[in-house]
Amino acid sequence: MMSPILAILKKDLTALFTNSMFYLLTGICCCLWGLFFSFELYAFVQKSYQLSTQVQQGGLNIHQHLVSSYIVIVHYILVFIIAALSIRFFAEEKKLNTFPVLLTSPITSWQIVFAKWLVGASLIFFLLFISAIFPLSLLTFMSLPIKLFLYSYFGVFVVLCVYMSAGLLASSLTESLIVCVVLSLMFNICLLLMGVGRELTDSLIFQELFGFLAIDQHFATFRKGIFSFSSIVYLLSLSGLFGLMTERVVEYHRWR
Amino acid sequence: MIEVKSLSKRFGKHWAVKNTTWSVEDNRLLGLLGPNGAGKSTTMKIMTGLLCSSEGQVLIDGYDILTHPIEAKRRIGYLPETPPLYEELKVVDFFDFVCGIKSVDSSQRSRQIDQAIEKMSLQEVAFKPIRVLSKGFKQRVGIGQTLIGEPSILILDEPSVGLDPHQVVELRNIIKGLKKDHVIVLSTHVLSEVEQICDDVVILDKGEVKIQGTLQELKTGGRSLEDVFIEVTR
Repeated sequence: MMSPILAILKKDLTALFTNSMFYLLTGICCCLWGLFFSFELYAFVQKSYQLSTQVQQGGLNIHQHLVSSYIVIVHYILVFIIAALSIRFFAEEKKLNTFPVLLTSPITSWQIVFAKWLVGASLIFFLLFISAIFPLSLLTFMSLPIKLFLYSYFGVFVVLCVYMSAGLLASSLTESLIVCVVLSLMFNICLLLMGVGRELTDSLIFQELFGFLAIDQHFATFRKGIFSFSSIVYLLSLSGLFGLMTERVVEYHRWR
Repeated sequence: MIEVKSLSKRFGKHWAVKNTTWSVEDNRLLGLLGPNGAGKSTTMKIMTGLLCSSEGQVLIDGYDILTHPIEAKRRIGYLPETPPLYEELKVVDFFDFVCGIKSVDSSQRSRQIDQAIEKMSLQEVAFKPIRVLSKGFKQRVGIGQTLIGEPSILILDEPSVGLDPHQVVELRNIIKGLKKDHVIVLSTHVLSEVEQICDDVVILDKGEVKIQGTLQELKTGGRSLEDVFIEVTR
């Protein structure tokens, strides 16, 4: 049961980690995160200094005023990076004609899709780990609310899994690498804008419905360091829905 | 054993395969012949579960490829027209990956990989990335991956396309060597190749079986296979 999934996971991760393009993208991410983290840190230090001169009680909350805003930047950059890397899931397999190896092996479409999902999740985990180095470096000279930090990072991981699953679907729909990236970006932008529906209706019920469906609402909860079980269930269900659609598309290849 | 029963495949309004019925017994090598667009590759894709049939069924050692795909696929090794190779992987790593997706027991893996490397004479390139190999070696790696999982049936779609004459002879000898342990279905345009290695022949044209039988049966009356092919596909 697990052997084919692990084999695909190992093969895809090996291929990814030996690909120079992946290191180039990771390098670009690191530069951007480093740059934005420096800006955020500078702004945080400025605000803290102003507060200390105004003889106010208590300092600035580091999670709220530094880590949380940094996570938003990490999230937005990764939405684009995931769209670019989604070509590796299926589009490249189809383009390089390696897809028949998977489709003619004694494995189910579910196992193929789940293995690819795990590849994407591992990739997100790796990139988030790299991004966490910047805020964690602060630990050398000050304390961080680690619990809030971990909850926020876990939340952004789950949110990014939804975007990655949308990329999985986009990748299964085409063998053109460019079309795959464009489709993946379109799906991700639609997911980002789901909350706009809230503003377009006067009905309280629909406002609440759109509020719950909007990923940004759940993301905002996680950013505050709040562990929301219902948000996790909703986001994993959404990711599962994309997985289900991907499985149907993979199966459709046989029936076309 | 492979049994193809009343098999049909339609793409829109076009029938790529029309009501074909034939079978191959154990330890036989069947040549699937036909002009371009005859339905050979489509038939092979249906036999391996890559495509679903519109009508009819394919039984692999008694298992229907549509209703029992996992059991049927366990018994098949398939080489498509273009070998499906992960070019960034080394040959041994690629074979190890195929062991994984075919759920080969970990205690059997190294033996099966060594066997595939030995049978395909890949010793000198086993630790090289596939992308640096010549076309002939890539084709051998492609056939090597079909042997992983020790399937009883090999389905090879035009394995000698694009090879030079030396490589074609080498490949022919390799396929001959595989015949004693497997049922082999081979599609090719090279009639001399069929005459040298095949036991049975099915000639398809416009999706239909035009003639089938053993090589000897087809060549009765002093006719060559080429004469028969030209006559039935005219």
